[in-house]
Amino acid sequence: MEGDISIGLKAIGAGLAMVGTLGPGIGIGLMVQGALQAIGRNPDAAGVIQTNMILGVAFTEAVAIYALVSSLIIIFVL
Amino acid sequence: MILIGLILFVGIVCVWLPFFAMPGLGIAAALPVIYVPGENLDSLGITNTMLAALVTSVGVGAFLFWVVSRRKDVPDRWQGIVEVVVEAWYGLARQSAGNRARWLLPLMLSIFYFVMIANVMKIIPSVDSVGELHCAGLTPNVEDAEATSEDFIQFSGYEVNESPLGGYFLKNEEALNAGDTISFNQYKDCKETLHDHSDELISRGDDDAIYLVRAAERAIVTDPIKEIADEVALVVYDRAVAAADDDDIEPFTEEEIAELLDEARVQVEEEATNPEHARELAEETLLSFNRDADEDEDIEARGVTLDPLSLNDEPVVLGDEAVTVDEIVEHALEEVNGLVESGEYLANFNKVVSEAIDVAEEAAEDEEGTAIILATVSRDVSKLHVGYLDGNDGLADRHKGTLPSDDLYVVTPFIRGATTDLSLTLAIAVVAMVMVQYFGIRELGVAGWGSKFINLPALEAGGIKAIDFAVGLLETVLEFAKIVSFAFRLFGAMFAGQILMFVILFLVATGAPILVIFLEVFVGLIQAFVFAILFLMFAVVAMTSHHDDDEHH
Repeated sequence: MEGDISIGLKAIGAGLAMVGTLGPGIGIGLMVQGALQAIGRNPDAAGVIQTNMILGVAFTEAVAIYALVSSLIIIFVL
Repeated sequence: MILIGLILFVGIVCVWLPFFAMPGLGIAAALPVIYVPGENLDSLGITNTMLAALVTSVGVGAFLFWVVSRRKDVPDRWQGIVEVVVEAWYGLARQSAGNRARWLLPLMLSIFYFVMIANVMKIIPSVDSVGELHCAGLTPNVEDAEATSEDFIQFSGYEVNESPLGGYFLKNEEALNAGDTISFNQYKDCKETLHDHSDELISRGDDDAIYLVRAAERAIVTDPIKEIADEVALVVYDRAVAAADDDDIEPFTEEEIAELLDEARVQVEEEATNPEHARELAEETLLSFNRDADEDEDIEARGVTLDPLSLNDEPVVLGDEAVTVDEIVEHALEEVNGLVESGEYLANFNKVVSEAIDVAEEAAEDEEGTAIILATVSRDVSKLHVGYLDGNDGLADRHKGTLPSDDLYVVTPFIRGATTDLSLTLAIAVVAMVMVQYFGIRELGVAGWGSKFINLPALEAGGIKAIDFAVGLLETVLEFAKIVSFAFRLFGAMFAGQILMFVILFLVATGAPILVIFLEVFVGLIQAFVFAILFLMFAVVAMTSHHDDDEHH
């Protein structure tokens, strides 16, 4: 192996940190499923449902972004 | 047909242009230096994200004031845009907050506009690319003349690490595994060049000219060894061959060889330190690279212009610095004199010559001819570690350091999307949450607001209701967690998007980045929307008290 092993370990750490995006991915999928079903049942309420869905998606995406930020910090700051 | 056209278009723009056409023209996207905090701008003294925030706020403020000041009953397009946004938000706020929407609206809209423009600013062409040119490497407060390699820690926040292979490189380049290692002197010299040659800094360093100067220096130092070693070896060889043929002649004995060697040593030292001989060697080497040219012509050889008839007057052009042949000779002779004094020169010579004599004797026995002797001597000489020539302090290397080379310079953009700095997002988050509490207090009174967090009535009621007390304490913590979550959500989305954009632009310069830029804009708009709407939601929640909930049960 060439080069510093510490760089390699950092890379592994960063990669592992991104495993945390699995949960939000599934969560967003479920949320959108619920929203689509609701719109299907009640097309008139589409606007309200969509707004609330976007809100929910942003919350869950935030968790994925926490994982991304951890990964970036491991690579660029440590 | 359309499919073919599409494939053709994609092929040209995404594959041919960045990978074939642009490298041919010498254009490339720069390697991004990714640095998490905002970078300090030397000329202005503030960070570039702060500058961006100022620009954003002034810009948005001015635009809005202008629109409002020319309010007409029949809106024109700018007023129309602003009205759409305001009405949409007002509608949302009324749905959630009822009458209190008027309290919340100013801050909500400010946050929305500011964050939206700050997010979208990243795709404007000169943002994140036009900036100051620095030399990377040294700490800013140390005078260059006095800088030693211990000061070589950080410059404007671009940290530098020592490479395990020798030399230094920017810490940021570790992650992308790119960038060359450069010597400490080169970093030191960089500032001088920046000062004197700042208008020429787009050109690359002249690697070919460097190579030539280095070759000339090396020739001056090592050629005398080579010549004399060749001579001695050939003499031994001839004698041995003659001895093989003719019984009257004896091959050299040990003593005779030792005598020869003594003479040779004296001769080598004389020749090596002779300035005229050195100059001849230098000129020979420099001209030897111009084999194809006529003697009368000015020769342009691998980036160097040499006039063979007037080598005395015409300097060897080394990038932007002109190095004369005299300088080369002088510099190399200094080194040679140093080596001769320390005895290293002779030690090297002895090594080469003894090996040469052995080979000569063997060759004479095996009747191989002189070629192998010359080849061995050449090889040995080329492997010699003579003085500085293998390190990074040669004349060529000092000048290389002062040549504009992309690895030494780092551009710090003047403006960088404001929300890519965690400080800014944290600040907005803190302001938002503090205002949320303020609105809560304004609506519920201090007692009402306080009772949400420290829920004494529930504690007094006892029993199962005591859990509400714990929940209240948890909510206190949650308020702080909301600050963190606001800050990191916006920062993470924007910063990661920015990095993604840089890296894709670096890898494939045209075509594919369009998609990434679209993604950027989309994510930016959504994040701004989310920030504002979350603020609304939290404010609404803060303004409703527990008692409302209880009554519903």
